[in-house]
Amino acid sequence: MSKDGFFARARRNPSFLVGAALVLLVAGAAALSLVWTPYPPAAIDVPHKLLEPSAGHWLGTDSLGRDVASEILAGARISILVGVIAVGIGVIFGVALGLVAASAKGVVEDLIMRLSDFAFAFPALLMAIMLTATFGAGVVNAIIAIGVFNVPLFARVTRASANAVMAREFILAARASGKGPVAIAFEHVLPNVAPVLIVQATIQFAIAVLAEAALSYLGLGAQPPQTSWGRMLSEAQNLLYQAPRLAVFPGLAIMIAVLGLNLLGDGLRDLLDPRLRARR
Amino acid sequence: MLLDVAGLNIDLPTPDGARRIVRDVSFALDRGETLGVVGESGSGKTMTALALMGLSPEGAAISGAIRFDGKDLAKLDDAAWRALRGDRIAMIFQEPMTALNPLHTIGRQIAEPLIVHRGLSRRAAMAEAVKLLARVGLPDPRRARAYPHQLSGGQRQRAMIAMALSCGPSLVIADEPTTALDVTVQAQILALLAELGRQADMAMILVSHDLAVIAQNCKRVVVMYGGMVMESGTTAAVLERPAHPYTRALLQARPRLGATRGQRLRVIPGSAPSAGEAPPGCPFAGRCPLTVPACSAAPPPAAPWRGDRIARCIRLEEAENVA
Repeated sequence: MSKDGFFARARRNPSFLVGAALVLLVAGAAALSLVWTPYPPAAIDVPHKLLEPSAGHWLGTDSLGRDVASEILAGARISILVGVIAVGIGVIFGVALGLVAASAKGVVEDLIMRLSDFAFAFPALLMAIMLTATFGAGVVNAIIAIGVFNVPLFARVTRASANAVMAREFILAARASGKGPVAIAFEHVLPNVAPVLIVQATIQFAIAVLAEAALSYLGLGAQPPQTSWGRMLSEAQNLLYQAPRLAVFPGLAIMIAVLGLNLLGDGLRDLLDPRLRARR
Repeated sequence: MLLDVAGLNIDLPTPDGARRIVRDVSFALDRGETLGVVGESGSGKTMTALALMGLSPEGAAISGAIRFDGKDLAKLDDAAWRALRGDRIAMIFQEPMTALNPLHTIGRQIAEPLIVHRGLSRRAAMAEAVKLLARVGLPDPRRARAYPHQLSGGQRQRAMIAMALSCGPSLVIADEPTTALDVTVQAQILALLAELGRQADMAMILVSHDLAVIAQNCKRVVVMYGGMVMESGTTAAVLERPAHPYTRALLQARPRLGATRGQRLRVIPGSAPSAGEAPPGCPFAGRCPLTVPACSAAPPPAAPWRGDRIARCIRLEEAENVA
């Protein structure tokens, strides 16, 4: 461990700084939309449809006269909600399975890993389409579908890092002091794999935001009047030549969120990885 | 008798089938006694030590008897092993930097066995950890809140000792406890271990490749080579009048003060058999100047020699005459 604290090193890490700023921007937009938006995001105002950006409507209005700026702000909420819950599902179940696999070894490990390979072999979007087709379109089912896809991924990452930690001598020392396998997994292994998981969670968050947009674009995610960036893109498609800005603004919003999360993940990887830290 | 190991064999699985890496090892230990185990890397000393803790690698097959305090350890299940480890039998590892979890304070790690075995609350265990640190020569109570990387090598090994001794074990296995330390710190740590052992009437198995460490700290010694006990007896007898050709060669390979400048160290010809490559006969056959065909035919029996010594060699008489 270097003498510099985490924050001192973070200040010198440009990808962490830019990533954190972009993510905070999106989070701020979502938080702001809870208390204030220029117009109610779902308010239809047909006489004022397809307005160009102006002082009254910063980003203009869409084909039903809804204020685009308000929709973008409210859409951040859905993106964050989907990301947090879908990644949460993946982390909770995936990390548990990965720890069990690494602690139990043998048949249990093989079984868990083969099952996760099986789930992995299925294209994620196809699985999400299947799930929403079976259980109905909507944000909740989209979240569950994306979350289920995250489980085998986190199981794999956890198992691989946990196995590396388990080979270290302090695990043998903990066993020599009489600790049981469950206590060792939670108190010794988990904290040592946490940095890897944090980085992975950031990147999966970005993928979840994209997946939600894709599902909503396909009409399987957010349903009107619920606002989502993916749904906005899908509706903008019909007017792509008349009003391309209707596709550009939600597209930019998605880009900012995904780019921010990826940069943040890269920055965290550098900041939390002890090997990279030693090299600098 | 606190510990009685008789005919211990350890087989490790390999892709080519099981390989015997510890062969017919026997030794005994009284309460409060310190036994030295000396041998090169690959001699089976660490595997023997781990077997006494029930921490043999996955898939290892162990046969023979290990009697500790009247119980046969070979018959214990996982839960019974966990109850024993860290409480009645504890272990001190070679490299305290890697044997301590870098993310936990040393106080917390010393407190752990007390929470597991004594059912102490975290707060009570931490208070006890501060007292234990004072006993191992780290009297500053703030040390308990330090992380391993904030301590020096000697301080870390003291913390490791505090962790091993926290529950007052009757047997401590120290696997090369001072190898990672420089010589002055080494002497302090060994003196500390000896002192704490005397106070608590604690028996110790001191595993080392360093003959000087063994000579200073142990009454009796077991010399291992190729997974077998080559010779065992009192340290004074074994080191001053080695009976076994291997022990003899080992002592001659040591650098000595007063040797003529420029005189080369006597090396043992050949190289040690790697773990598991056990030949059917004596593992030292071939490197030993006294090898005869019978040496490679069958493992030499453990035979008493000159009093209470035991040596495994069919040519002890000849070896004595060579000297």
